[in-house]
Amino acid sequence: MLGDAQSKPEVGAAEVEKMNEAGVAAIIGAFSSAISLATTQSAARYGIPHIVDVGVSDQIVQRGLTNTFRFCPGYGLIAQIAIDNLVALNDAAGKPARTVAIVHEESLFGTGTAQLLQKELPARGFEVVEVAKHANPTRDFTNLVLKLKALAPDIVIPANYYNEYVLLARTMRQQGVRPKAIYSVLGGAASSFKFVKEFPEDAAYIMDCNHWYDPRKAEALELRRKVEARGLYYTYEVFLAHEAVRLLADALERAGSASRERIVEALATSRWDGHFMPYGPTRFVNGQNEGARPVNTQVLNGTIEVIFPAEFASARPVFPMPRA
Amino acid sequence: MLEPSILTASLVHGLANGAVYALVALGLSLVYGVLHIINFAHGALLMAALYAVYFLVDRAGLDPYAAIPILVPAAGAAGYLLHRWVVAKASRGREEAVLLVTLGIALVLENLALALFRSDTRTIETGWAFSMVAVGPALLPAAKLAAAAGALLAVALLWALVRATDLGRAIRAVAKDREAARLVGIDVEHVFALAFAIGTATLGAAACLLLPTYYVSPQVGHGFVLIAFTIVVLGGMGSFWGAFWGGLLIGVVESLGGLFLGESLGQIGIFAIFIATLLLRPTGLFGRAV
Repeated sequence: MLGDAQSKPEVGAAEVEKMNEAGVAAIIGAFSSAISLATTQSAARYGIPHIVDVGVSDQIVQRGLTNTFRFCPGYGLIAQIAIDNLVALNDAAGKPARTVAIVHEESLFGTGTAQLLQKELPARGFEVVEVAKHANPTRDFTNLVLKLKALAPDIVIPANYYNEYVLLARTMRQQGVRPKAIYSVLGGAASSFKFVKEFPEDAAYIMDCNHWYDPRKAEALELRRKVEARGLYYTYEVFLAHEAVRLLADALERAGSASRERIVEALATSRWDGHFMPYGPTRFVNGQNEGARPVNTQVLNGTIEVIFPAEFASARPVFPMPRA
Repeated sequence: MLEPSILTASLVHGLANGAVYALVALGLSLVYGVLHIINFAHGALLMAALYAVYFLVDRAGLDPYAAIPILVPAAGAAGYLLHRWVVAKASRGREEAVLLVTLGIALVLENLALALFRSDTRTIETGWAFSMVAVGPALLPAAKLAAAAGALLAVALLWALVRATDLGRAIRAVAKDREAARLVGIDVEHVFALAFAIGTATLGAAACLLLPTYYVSPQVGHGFVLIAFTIVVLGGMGSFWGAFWGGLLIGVVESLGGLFLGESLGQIGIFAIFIATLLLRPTGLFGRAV
């Protein structure tokens, strides 16, 4: 069954009701944090196992719902790793960056990420000069970018969805705003092949801490080939949803039945290592896959390279980014 | 913060947005002036026009500005038929019923769009949409300036239509006293539908000018209705120049508010003006006391 949440949590919850009536064994979804909060809670009322594919808000796994399992990392861990890597990057370059501006979208994901960054960055030697929130959708960033131009931060950290990310990056380039780095945390477009292909000049040198596959795994590359052969882009929601389906398939096999209770039990005890994410075997604690980790990417020479962690980095980071 | 290049860019950007707001508000104001009702379907009709432009660009490969000669008459015709077949028939001449009918049309159109196109936000990509033009010390997107120029031209044409044509005279006569207009032989029902058609045609033009730098989704009209309604109240209900200057003012307030208070809080200025107008000058800047 497919359910369209129409970008609204209440519609997502209503779709879960329909799915329950249809007798589904499990649910995978719902991309957005706000919608995932609603769908997991609705699913919990009926004991339906719910695998969260992308939603990054940590509240999703902090409500004691035994039916909820998140395969990917949450924004708390992602923000932490992003800051660690930013500090390492800045230190290695002789600390050229000191000031930071955060631009985030208004929902749970952007607001939560921004709050974490705002709290952590000053403790790590950065001054947060601006925290700018914007609506979804936004089709005009002129004012916000003019403000950034006036503040001239060393680093701009966007945390927003694809359309707004692209528009922000393009407006920044047009208005001549060129910080030392655009360093996203869960940037909607920064790790997107679509953005890199369509707007290579705007995407150049952008760094991101985001969900990414393990490039050493042949299955990941094979899926990328298949997805691209169909004219689609290999974005994180594609490979995370793909792996969420395989996680459920593994749990179904081990449960040996379509019983919701048995699947919940199988997921809770899952030690699945057949995936191609850089996570290690699954191990769910309060519904969170403890081994899940983000990676850092940078757009270099028209493609997306992994710059951290060192064990499978495909390129060395370029920081500060060259002046235009 | 107060660097001239930044302030100028924000100001010009506000004026450019304001010109398009003025065009949208003029359609609403014209319908109010003649029919004496707030057309609640105005935002939903703008949404429908934006979808029409989107599909003309995306499927037929048309340039959004080249769609103007197609969409303006098409939107006008749709508006005329909508008034004749739906609004006039369903309301049976009662003004309060017209209000409810337009609200009903808005609900139907929005839900139809949701069913047909889902809630995805759609945008168009044009090669020139992001090219920049230097205006004094400021850099501005060419598409914004083109939209402003197009909106100002449309306002001028609308003004000429209202002031210098028989249709304009008939519209003004009906707006002033519909019974007297009927006595001198004006087909009042036809003029009602024509005013509704012109109001909808302005949305056709606004949609073509907006889409290169904007988006379309089933709910896109909500924001515009609120802004257009504020402009009409600010300028004076039914006042042509009130809507025009009100549009520019609201555009500038929104832009400077965004610059100084942030994107979310920046909208406060618009609604503060709305409340202040209602409290201090309920007839609006250009309105006459009744």
